[in-house]
Amino acid sequence: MSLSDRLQSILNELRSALPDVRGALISSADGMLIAQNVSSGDSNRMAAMVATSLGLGKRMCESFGAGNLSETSVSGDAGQVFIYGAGSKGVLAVINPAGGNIGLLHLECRAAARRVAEVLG
Amino acid sequence: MPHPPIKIVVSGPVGAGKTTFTRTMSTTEVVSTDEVATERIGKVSTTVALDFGSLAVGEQEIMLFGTPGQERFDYMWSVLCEGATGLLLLVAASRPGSFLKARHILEFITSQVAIPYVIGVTHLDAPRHWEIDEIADYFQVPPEHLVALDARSRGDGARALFRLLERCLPEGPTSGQLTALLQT
Repeated sequence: MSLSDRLQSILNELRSALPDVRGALISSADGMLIAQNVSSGDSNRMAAMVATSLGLGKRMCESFGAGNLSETSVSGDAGQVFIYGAGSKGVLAVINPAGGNIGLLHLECRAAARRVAEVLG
Repeated sequence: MPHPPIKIVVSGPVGAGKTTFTRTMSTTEVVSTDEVATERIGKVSTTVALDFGSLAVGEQEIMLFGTPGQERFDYMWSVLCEGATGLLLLVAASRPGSFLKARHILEFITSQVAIPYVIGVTHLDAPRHWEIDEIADYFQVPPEHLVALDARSRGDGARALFRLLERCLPEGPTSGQLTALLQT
């Protein structure tokens, strides 16, 4: 299986495990879209934005002595975006409607982020 | 009563020297957000959110906000330009292929906020490069809106900032401020 097929299947499995999720994508740390399973919106733009958010989060962790960043999130009144570091090269982002089981979401997404990190090497 | 800080945005295409400029000029620790570049852009890392630095010119604090260069980060251009006093647009004279991108950035920003700008021309030491006058023609701006600078030189950076402040501040910067800039 090619690298992009493997990443795509991680996203597909994540969507099956979390049916409420509205979309998931993987981008490089410098904001290039690598794989996506997003039904609406401009995923190239989203890929850049999640990389910006993760990049800024990393520097905040350094500045506040919080160690290496593992994840960050952005919440609105109608939805949330959870952003997970996937090794040093990748970013996994998941768009979720407001509410729902966040514990389960983190459990699935953290495992998926580890798999993405392994695939990206 | 101290003056409110002046906010300067440093923008321009990839590889123009935005991060280098901010690191050269800042007298405080620079917050950078560089990540390994996956595209071939002629360098190993690239800014994904912003660079932030600051310097004091006498009593006046100047804050520097460097933007990412790639168009996919264009939302950061808008975010960082909010409340900005002036824009320093850096362009590498050795990369004519990036001039169109530079013009796009300039038009994108100035169409959203009326902000005075100066075009800082870098990489004039490269063996093949465009001259300042040719670049002024390309951008269709008067040559006095352009300033030559080596992003690694504090003196050059100070002169570029002074030129920008001349365009931003109604009363203009004082000669004392130029001296202070050059001494920082």
